[in-house]
Amino acid sequence: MIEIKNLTKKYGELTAVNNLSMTIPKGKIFGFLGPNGAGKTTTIKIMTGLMKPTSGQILIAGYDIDKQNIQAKQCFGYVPDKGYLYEKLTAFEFLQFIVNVFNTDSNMNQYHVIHEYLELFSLLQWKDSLIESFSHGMRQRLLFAAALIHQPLAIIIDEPLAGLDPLGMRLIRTVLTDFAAKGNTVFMSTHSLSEAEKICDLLGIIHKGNLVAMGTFQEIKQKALLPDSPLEEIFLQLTSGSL
Amino acid sequence: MFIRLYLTVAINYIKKGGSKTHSRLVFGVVGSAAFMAFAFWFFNKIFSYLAGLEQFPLFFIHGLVERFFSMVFLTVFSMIILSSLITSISTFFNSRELQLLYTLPIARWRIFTKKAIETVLYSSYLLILLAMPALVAYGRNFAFEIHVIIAAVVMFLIFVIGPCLIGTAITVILVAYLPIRRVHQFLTGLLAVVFIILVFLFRMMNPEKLINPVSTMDFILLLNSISEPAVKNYPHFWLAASITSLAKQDWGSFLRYDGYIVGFNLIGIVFLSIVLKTVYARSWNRSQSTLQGNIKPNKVSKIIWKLKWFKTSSRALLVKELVIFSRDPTQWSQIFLLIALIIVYIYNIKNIPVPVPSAQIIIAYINIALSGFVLAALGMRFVFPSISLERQASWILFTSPIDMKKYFQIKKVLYFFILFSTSQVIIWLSNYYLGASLKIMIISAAINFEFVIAILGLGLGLGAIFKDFTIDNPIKLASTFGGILFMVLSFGAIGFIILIEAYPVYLSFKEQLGYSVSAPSEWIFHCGALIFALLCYYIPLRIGMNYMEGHSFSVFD
Repeated sequence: MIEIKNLTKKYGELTAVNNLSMTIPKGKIFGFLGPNGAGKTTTIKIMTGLMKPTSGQILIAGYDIDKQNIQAKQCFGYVPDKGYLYEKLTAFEFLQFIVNVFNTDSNMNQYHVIHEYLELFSLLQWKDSLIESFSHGMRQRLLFAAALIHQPLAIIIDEPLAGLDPLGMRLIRTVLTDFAAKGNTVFMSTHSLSEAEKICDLLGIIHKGNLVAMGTFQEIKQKALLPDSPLEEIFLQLTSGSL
Repeated sequence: MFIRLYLTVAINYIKKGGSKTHSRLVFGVVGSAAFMAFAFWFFNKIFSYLAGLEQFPLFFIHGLVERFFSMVFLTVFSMIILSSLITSISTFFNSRELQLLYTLPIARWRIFTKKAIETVLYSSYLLILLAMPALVAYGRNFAFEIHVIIAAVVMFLIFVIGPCLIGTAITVILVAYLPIRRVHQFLTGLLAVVFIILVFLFRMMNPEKLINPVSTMDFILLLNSISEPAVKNYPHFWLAASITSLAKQDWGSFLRYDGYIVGFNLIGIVFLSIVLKTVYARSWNRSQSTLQGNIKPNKVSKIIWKLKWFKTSSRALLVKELVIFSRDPTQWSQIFLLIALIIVYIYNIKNIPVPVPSAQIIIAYINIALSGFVLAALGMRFVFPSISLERQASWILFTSPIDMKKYFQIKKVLYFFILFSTSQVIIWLSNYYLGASLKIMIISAAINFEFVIAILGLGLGLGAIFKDFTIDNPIKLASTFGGILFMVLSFGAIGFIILIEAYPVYLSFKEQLGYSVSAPSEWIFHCGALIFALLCYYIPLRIGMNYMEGHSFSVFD
């Protein structure tokens, strides 16, 4: 579903992402881990078309994000870490905008679908309130609703649980698990190792722009030669430069 | 403590600001100096004329000046109250530093004092910039002593504090009982309406007669008429009386009126202190409870959703543009201002004397150029910033399956409608009042159409090339390099089109005077101007679209 081939991004002399290659298959939740400045956000920004790579290629559902960007963008939803939205739109108007921009199935009843998603993310009560009056958690839930409402094949998330309360976190966890269970792909970058351990099927650890480990939790444990250690210890070892 | 903080921020701004900050700083200083120089020239002209009137006794002249100042200060007083009503929403409620300050072990009164000083500065600095040259010009012509000028300036600075205190107190009370967003919208609308009224009143009093009076009597009558509503026992009158008593060397009156002003400010401080002590906690709590009432669906958006000939995604983009525009109070004030300027423009055209019928065509020709400059200003305010107005939500645009051609198509349709309708209203109305012939009206309308095409392309194209998604206020874009370049190129394009179209206008002029003209040659020039306008439209738009397609965010965006 998501293929990253020899991706490199340089900012002048600094190499933020170095020859990164990985494939995330359908129906999996992939956790992209790494310390601050490792290259996670840069990779995500290139995947979503917000940034141009220095070299390399990204395919989403077989479409090149650079050359076939309209088709590729049609296939995924994106939740950024900073939830800037159109402040002067209401939650309902924002989702209506997203549904129509993505040209989602014209036969569906937009009103009902939007209501369904607002209800799923506990925002129905505030559907006619301006987004500018929303709290961080509400914005985050609205971003998830917008990323999923057009029924994408994949969702790309930068720090999905930042700013959410425990109820919101559980909701997102359930939504993502259900989404992947339907054969879709979740690509999420996170600092929360416990969350990654809980819901991810696959993990990738990036350090100084290089992919230092990738696979299931068990496979990474084997690679780190720490079969009985928690993820935190493995992560620290992999990103401390000892491997 | 706060003074040290301000100084650190100011020093860092200058030291570490980079070339963009420095050029903005230089631009601001030069712009302010030019504004003050113009104000000084204007007031100096009036006061030097008044001081030179020997046929009237000096006490009569002083009386006139006092009434003139009284009217000016009444306007200043009202404007500062209105301005502080809005400014205090930002300083006392929306300022982000308040969240931090209230958690620090700092006495509340010190925070309030800091915020009150900020309110006074932000609400009155423009009027201070305008008043300083007026007072210096007055001192130069009537007092001739530096300490008199300094005393007048100091009194003016003390005078501006009172209305700010009143405005702040009113805002704190309003926010305690009404949603802060509604208060902001209402006050912004009110300020815009008052400003328009002031623009009209200023224009209707024929200020040009103050600079170039036809006769002394005319001048005196005009000055007398504009100072008619002046009333005593209010701060504006005390300040006027205080300043004119300086020139009369009447120190007793000067101190008495200054005492009144200081007393008034003290009452203002006590009033604001009581309001802050009793009401502010409630106002602050209300302003921080962010969830607001429901918004009614936008009626225009309902109509657009029914426009089936647009694609669904195009309709979505159009609705988004219009809804966001209609809910932004800063945009309304600009529209009010624009309407006022158009009416004043047409009023000016209506009052232009046409000495001979043949002069009419020359005025009509000048009118085409002037309306082009109005269009360029319109483009600067609405078209050029339209891309940057996506602000930090621009990531939505770039991660959605939106074809840039479609995105630009919507912008083109929307802003073509705004520019074209406005320019046609201006040109047909102004030509109607000029009594221009139908042919001239049609030529003017056609040339305006060419302006619209050129400005639309330049505005959207350069707006895309020089986009700034971090901008908080679109007005600020006018002072950026991109904004200045847009204005220069727009003026250049208008000038060139006018130049090409001069020949057809000349032919019309000849025709009006009874000469026969060969029509085909006229069309060559019209076509030439149209091709030039189309180039101005196509080239920047193409480059701008490429810039948008190739836009790369930074990792920090």
